[in-house]
Amino acid sequence: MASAGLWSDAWARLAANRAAMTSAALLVVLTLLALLGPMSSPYAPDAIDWEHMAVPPSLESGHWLGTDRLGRDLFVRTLHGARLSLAVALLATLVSLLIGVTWGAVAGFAGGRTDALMMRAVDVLYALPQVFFVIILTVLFDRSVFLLFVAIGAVGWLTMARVVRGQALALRQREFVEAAVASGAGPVRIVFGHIIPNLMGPVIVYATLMIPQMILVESFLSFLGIGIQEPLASLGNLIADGSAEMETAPWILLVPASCLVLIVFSFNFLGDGLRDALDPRER
Amino acid sequence: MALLELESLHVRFRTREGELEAVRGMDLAVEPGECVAIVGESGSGKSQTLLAATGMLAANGTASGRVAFEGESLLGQPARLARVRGPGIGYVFQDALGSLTPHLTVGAQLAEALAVHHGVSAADARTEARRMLERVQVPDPDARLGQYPHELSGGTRQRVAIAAALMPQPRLLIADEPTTALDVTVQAQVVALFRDLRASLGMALVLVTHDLGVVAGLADRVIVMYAGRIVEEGPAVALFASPRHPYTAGLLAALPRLDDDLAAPMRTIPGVPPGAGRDAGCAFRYRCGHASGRCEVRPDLAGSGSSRVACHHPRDPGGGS
Repeated sequence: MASAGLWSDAWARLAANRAAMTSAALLVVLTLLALLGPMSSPYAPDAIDWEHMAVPPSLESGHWLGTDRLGRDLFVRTLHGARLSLAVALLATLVSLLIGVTWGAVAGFAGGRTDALMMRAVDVLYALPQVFFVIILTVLFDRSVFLLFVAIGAVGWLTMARVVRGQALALRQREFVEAAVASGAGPVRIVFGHIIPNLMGPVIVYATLMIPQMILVESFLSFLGIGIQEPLASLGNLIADGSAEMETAPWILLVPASCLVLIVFSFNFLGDGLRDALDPRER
Repeated sequence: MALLELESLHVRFRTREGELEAVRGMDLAVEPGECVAIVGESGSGKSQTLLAATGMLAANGTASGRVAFEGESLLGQPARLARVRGPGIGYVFQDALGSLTPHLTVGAQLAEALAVHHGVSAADARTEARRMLERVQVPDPDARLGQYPHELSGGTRQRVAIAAALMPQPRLLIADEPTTALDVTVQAQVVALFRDLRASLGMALVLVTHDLGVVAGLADRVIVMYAGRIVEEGPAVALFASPRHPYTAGLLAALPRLDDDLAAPMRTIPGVPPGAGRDAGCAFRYRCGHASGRCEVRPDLAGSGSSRVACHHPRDPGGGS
């Protein structure tokens, strides 16, 4: 156990948390399904089955989870949607992680006027209506999946910056930072070598809790019709699709909606578990 | 030329209660290879003097006066300070666990101290780190290199912190209460280590402490601070044998001795140090048995040769009062 004692302790605590471990396992299965599942099905996500239009889930028709009103297989489409939603959420989280952590750590370490200036910029961006901001972006530029997650990430980093800045402020007072200054280390080395690695705990927790938020934002935008467009499937536009047929063919809504709920729940449980594991004092 | 020179150094802090003056005109010259101990009770300004000298005051603190290292002025010169910290002046802090970065192994920690200033290859840095661990007498250095700070004992941590400060081979090592957080036997080992290091590396050492035992074991010269000023300085042997300032005498008398009567109360200096407000007189007069009307005017630090004292009623150099 000689090395990385902190991490192995955290891992032991996480492994003992049944809800978190179940969620993690579920996420792995869902991700694998989303990546590989569609290949196992004879149906393409945009293939129309003229024989079976809007059929409920059944084994005889060959569509386990039914089809939508255009006769497209819901199982395949939902997995495709989950894949895209997950990818967008992960990338958006990564973007906001990169900007937020750097911004917050620099502000927190610099302190004083620099800190005040950087955090006021965050406040100003916070005050912008975010959906409006994303809508403007998608109108100004083309509607592309890539742009969508950049836009979401560009909005999502604000809270991350605040979380990290608070941690960095506390770390700056610690003696090991003072010792690094005393050994002649420059600010860049201190921020990236001493401060950021020491706030990875809360950052990991926050990122895990951010992914489901990002999925929800993506779904919301796609639901409104400014996110991912047909024929591409995302959980958001599948749900939008399904909600139109809610009364006549409820499974078209229920299948992607359950998938969304499952993913969001799992990430939240995992995030909670990670928080308990990485910071046992906060329980 | 002196290695480190301070001239009328003042340190002020802006606080909610107004301005506090922690150091009120400090003159100090440290010669190459010399060991100077700065003693005084908590709040006497000993740590702030050295933090100010190395440009590491808290954000609300300002330093004025002159600070020079090897003849180069440092005050308000961030670029020069960054160059001097490490290879010029090394710093060892009181809390050894706190001063080691938790996520770095001992080896990485030591190697980093080199990487900051020189383009040293990873392999060379590791060899050097191992050599330095041996030098500070850490047992089983190869195993230690891969360990994290929280896996080490207090004494080993302090040795590693000292090794980290020594990696760039500083000409001056500042040790701020290096033994306070350690238990007594480990304290003695660390004092012995400092003595060995000074003999083998020939660096100058400035020791901040309130432990007179540590001072006696190491220092060539002692500076006694009270309320932000020097009240007495002199060669360690002479100062211990015949303290001239009543405060120094009080400090020495307060040391417990092995042949003390255990039932008797411990000797202390009555009263508490004054706040950091302005005062025209001797700051010690409220607690001093010898105070008179003359003490309403602050005495200058005066004396012959290497011994100086700031007191209107200094005790006889021959001993006795």
